[in-house]
Amino acid sequence: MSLNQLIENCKINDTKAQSELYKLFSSKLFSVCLKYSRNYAEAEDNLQDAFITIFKKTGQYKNKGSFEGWLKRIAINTALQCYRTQGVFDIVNEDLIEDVAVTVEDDDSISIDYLLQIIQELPDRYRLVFTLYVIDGYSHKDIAEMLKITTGTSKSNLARSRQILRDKITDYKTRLQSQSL
Amino acid sequence: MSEKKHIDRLFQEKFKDFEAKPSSNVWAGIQNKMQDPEQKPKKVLPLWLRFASIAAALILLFTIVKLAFNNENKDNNNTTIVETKTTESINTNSKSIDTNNSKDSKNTIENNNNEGLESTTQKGNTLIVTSENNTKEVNQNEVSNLSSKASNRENTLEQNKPNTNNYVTNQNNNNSNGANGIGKILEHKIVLNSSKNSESLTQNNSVEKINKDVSNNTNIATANANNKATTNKTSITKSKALETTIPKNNINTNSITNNNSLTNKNTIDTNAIENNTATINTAVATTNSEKEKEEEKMMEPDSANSSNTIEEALAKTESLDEKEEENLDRWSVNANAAPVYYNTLGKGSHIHEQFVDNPKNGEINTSYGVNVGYALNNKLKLRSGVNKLNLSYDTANVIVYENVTNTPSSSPLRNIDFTPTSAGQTISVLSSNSLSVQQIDGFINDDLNAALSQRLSYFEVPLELEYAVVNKRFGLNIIGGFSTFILSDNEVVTEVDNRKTKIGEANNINNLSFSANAGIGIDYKFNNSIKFNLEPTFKYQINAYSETSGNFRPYIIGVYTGISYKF
Repeated sequence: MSLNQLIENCKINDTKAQSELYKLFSSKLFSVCLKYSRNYAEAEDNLQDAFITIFKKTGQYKNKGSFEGWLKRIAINTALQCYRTQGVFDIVNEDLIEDVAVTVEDDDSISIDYLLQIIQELPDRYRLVFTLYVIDGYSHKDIAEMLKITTGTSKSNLARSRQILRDKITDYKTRLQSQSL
Repeated sequence: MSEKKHIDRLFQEKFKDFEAKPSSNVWAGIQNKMQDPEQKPKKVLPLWLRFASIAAALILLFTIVKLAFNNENKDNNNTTIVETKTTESINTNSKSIDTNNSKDSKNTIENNNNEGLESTTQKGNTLIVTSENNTKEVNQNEVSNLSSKASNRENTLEQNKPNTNNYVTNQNNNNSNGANGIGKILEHKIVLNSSKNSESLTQNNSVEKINKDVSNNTNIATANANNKATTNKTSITKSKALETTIPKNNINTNSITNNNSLTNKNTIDTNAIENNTATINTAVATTNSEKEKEEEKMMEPDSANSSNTIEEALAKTESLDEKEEENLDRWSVNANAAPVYYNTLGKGSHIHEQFVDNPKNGEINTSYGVNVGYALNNKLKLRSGVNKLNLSYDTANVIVYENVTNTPSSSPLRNIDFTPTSAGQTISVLSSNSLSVQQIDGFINDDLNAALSQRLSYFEVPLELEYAVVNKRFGLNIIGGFSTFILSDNEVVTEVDNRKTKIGEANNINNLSFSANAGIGIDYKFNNSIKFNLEPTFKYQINAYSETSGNFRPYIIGVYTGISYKF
């Protein structure tokens, strides 16, 4: 069954097609949810809500742009929605920070699990801004609109989150080295 | 040492192909959440449609029953008038004198009724006498005319009969001959229909002919049924069959509403006509015998599939039922109260034959009680309980007077035991309809034109079976069963200007009586254990009275509302 056929079947609430669609995209969308959530359980909740939204609104997908992109946007929106309603955006320090080049030493010792862990440990808005900007490639203007903040705040949050992440990575490396010694 | 790189690049590279498999709980959760909101909007509409259709069906059924009973009770005069009108429409040339006469007779009958009820002027009385004479004469004329007409129609019927037989045999020939037969069949069909019309008329005219014609019809029907059995499959596939049968059905439903008392006969007609159209289609089908074979081939796998899916569906529902039965609360208690309406289907009096023609009306009273239900499974529920039921039924235009002498009145009411008044005088009751005008002028004033009210109080013990058609938050049930009525109180009361006086009690009311019950129940579940019920119920009393005059068949309609608690 082609993807288009699958989408058409999902539009008429064909449960078989919905199951098929889930199998195809759940892993990809779960990775999206993990990056925007505080932890694994929250990511699963977001994934569940995202798929329910997807199945309900498949009819609104008009074959413009990639279907995967559309699914991803829904997943991200679902994750953001959760924070909009929780109102946790204002807890972080709004001081402007200069955007300096933050560099780390790269080797294979850093696992993706650790990177995910430190992203999830970031304060909510830092995490959202960092993931939106760095991993999913949204502009500060987009992020400002999506999170109802100014572009300045977005930039400042990004710089702050970079610093936090770099510190954590450096700590991690020194710990690894001291263990191996 | 590895080279330094921008932290963004590190994350971008690492997360580029990042995928993670969620646990199976997520899909289960999605399925659960999808099923609930998906089913609700889909099923709400059909639910109301079902309510509406069931309500409409009940109303239709009730009106048909009511009309049927009314028709039986009407004078023969009325029915013959209706028939002569129909013959008028067919034989437009023969607008003969007798139909005009019959119209006149109808008018005079109406006058008769109206003035009979009022019975205030002497003119009324004389008119009644003359009109009765007229109607008798007219009836005799009509009977003779009609019987001669009827015999004519019977002849035509007999002529038509061989045609129908031919038609059936032609049908068989056509199966082998092919397309040539279609035209012939259409002709024959017209003949058949016309013969049917005449049949229905003759059936109206006399009871004996009904039997004959019904037997004729059934002969035709069975003959066609044989054909139908062999050709059923092919007729289904033809959309033409549907197109032709639909207008036919309309015609027949019209005739049903006209002749409610003959609904059974008409359904035989519809069967016969449907068979006709079905057989026509078989003729069409046989012209393309090859196509037919193809269609049969096409149908076979379909039917096989459908039977498979049906079996699957049954298996699914069975497994669902089993699951639901596991956590079924079997016992429930229901407290209910209802406004009940008491009336009679036939025209008659429970008191005395002189009141048969008096205006009567049931009053709205109350019923309340407690029921216990036991769920046999998640669809069927057996329930019983005790209800206190108060009923009253008024007979108007009654004259009540106290006899001056202590001797009983010349025509005492056999169904009422009068209690003597304090002065030792006995009470007599007369229908004002039966008094002539001179008598009324003599000693009756308007105050004594009273209503006689029969008050009854029963303990009702119902035993009913409740079948759940819909078992969601809104539930829909069909209820059937019977009730045992134990008489607890019985009095006859006169009402004059809202002053009520007990004059005695009826002696023809059985201490133990029964009723057949049918109703629909609508309920709304507040939660798993508490629900609100609304049950419009019809109860037909079977042996409430030991002897009545006329055609007195009492029934009770109640809208039972209550709260039930499951445990």
